[in-house]
Amino acid sequence: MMKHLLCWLILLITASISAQNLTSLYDIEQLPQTLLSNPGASIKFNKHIGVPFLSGFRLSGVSSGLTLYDIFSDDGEDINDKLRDAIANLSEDKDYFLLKSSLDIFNAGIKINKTDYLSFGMYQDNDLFFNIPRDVLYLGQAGNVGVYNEPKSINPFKIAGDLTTVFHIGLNRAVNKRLNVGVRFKVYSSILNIKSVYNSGSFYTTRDSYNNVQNIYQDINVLIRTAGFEGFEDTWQAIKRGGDSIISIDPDTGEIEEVPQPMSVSEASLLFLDRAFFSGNYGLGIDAGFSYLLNDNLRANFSFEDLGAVYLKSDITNYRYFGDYIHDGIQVDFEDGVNNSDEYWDSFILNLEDSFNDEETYESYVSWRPTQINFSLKYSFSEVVSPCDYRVSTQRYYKYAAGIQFHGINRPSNFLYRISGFFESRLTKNTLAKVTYSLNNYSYDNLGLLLSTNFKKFNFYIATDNILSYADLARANNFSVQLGAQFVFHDN
Amino acid sequence: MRNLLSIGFCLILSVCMSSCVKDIDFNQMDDITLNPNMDLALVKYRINSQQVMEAIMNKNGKLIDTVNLEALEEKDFRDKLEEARFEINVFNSLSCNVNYALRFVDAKNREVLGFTHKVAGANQNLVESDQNIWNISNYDSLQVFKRARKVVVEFVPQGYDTIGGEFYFGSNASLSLGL
Repeated sequence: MMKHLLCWLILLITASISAQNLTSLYDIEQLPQTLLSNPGASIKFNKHIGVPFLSGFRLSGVSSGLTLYDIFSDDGEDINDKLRDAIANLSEDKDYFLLKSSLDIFNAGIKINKTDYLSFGMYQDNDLFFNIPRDVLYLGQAGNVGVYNEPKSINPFKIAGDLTTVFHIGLNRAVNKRLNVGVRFKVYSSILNIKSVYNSGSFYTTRDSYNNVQNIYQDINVLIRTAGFEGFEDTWQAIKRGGDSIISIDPDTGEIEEVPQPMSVSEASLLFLDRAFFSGNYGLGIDAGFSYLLNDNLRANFSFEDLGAVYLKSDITNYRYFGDYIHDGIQVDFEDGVNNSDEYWDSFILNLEDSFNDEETYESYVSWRPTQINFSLKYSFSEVVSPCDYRVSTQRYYKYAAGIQFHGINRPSNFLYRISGFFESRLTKNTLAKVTYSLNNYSYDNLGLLLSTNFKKFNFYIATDNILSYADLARANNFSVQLGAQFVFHDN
Repeated sequence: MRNLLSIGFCLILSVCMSSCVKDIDFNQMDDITLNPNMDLALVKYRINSQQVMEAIMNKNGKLIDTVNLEALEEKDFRDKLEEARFEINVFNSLSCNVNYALRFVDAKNREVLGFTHKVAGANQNLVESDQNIWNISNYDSLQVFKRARKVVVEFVPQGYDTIGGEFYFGSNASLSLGL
C-alpha cells in the first residue's frame, strides 16, 4: 500500500499537467482571453462569445525537482537506487509540484458604449500546490537510520489545493487613446479545499550516554484544514449508486438482490453543478490592470489577478497534530514480575497519547487565492495600413512586436516567477504567431508558442509552453497547453 | 501565406499530438521496494545495590519482568517485518558479576528466542560494559521470532554487591520493514 502511495505520489509529481496562465496569451489585443489576465488590456474587438466548455481549456504542470526520467528511465539501473538518489537530490524545502487546470464553462463580452467593454463568464479552476518534504519522503523510503543527530524539519510540508467554480464580471475602459484600465470582480464557490501551510517541528534519532536509541519529536505542530470533502464523497457516492437499481440473483445463494447502479450522465452533471453552485463556501476576489501606450510603438501593461479569499465555513474538518515526544525505551521496574506485561504497553501508549496529541476541529477558516501579478513592455514595429484604398476605412496594425514580460504568483512556500522575452508576428491580417522564451525558478530553456487565427468571426487559438519538452515529456520539469475556440466580432 | 499557416498549425498540433515519453519503463514500478529501517529503543532498566540485596533475599536470587509487545500482535506488522536486529548495552558498576537475559516468548509464555549473557563485576570503581548484537535475518529465524508476543527481562546477580554501584541495561531494536 505504502509502495503504491509513493509510486502514485511520484507519478503525480512528475507527470502532473495543469493550467498556469500562459505567457504567450498576455497582451494579445485580438484575443478575449487576454482580459482574464489583464482586465485593463488594450483590445481590438467589440463582442465575443465563447463556445461553451471549449472557449478556454488550460492544462499545465510543474515539478521543480523530479522528472519521470529520473525515476523510470530504462537504463538498467535499479529503480530503488534511482528513487533514493532522486529523493536525495531534492532540495530540503524548495521543490514543489503544481497541478493546475482550468476550464471555461462560458465566456462572453460586449462593448456597451464607445469606451467600455463588459465581459463575464464562469470557469472551473483546479489548483493543487504541494511542497515536497524531502526528509519525510526519505523517512518513508529509508527509515530513521539516516537521520542520526540531524534534526529534520517538517516545516517544508505545505499543501494548498482548491477545486473552485469562479463566476466573474469585468469592465474594460478605454480612458483615452493611450490608457486602458479594467477591473474584474469574482465570486468563488469552493467545492473542495485543503490547506496546510504553517507547520513546524522536527524529528531526529540520537543515542544517549548509554548508547540507548532516542527517537525525538520536537515542537510538532501540524494543522491540516479541509473543506467540502465529506459532501464531495456524498456526491460521489450518490453518483455511483444513485441510479435505478437492477434486480440480480446471487448465483450461490439464489437470493434476489437489488444492485445499485450509477446515475445517468445528465443526472450526475446536475448533481455536480448543484455542488459547484451551492457549495456553501464562497469568496470574493478582484483582478485589475491597465495598459498604457508610452509612445506610438511602446506599450506597458500591468495587472494582478485573484486578489481575494474564500471563506470556508461549510463541511469543515481540521486535523491538528501537536506536541513533543521522546521515545527511549520502556522502563521496567521489576515490581510485579511476570504479571504486569500489559501495564507497560498501556503506559507506553498513554504516555505517547499524552505527549503527542491529535484533535479534530470544525472551525471555519479563510483560504487566500494564489495572487498573480503580470507586467509587460511591448515594442511594435513595421506598421501596415490596409487596405491601400482611400475609398474604404483603413485598419492600421503593426506586423511585428517584441518585448519582455514578467509573471509572478504567490505560493505557500515562496514567490514563483517567470521572466520572458517574446516576438510576435502577424502572419496575415487574421493570424498571429508569438514565440516566447522564459526563465523561471526551475528552467532556463522554456520556449513557448502561440498561434491564433480567425476564420471570419470564428477564432481558434492554441498555445504551449516548454515546447522543446514535447519530444520527450519524461525529462520535462513542466509543460503547459492552452487552447480554445470562440466567436470574436471586430469593429471592422 | 495560407500554406504557411497550414504548416504552422500542423506543426504545433503535431508537436502536441506526437509528444511522448522516451526511454521510460513504467513496469519498474513493480520492482520498487521500500525498506525503511527503524531504530528504536526496546526496554531498559537500572538496578542499584539495594535492589540486588532484595533480589537475593526475597526474590529467589533474580529479578524478572515482562513487557507485552502489542505491535507483534498486528498481522500487518508481522507480514512487513523482513529483518530484525537487537542490540543490548549493559554497564555494570556493581562489584558482583551479573547474568542478564532478554527472552522473547509467545502468548503462552513459551520462549521462542532468547539471549543470555554475563558481565563481570566492577573492579576498583571501573565500570564493566558489554555490548551484544543479534541479527535475525534468515527466513526460519524470522518466522520463529514472529511468534513472539512478549519480552521477558532477567537480572541475576552472582553474589552480593559491596561497593554500592548500579547495573544499567538498555536494548535497542532495528527493524527492517518491506512496505
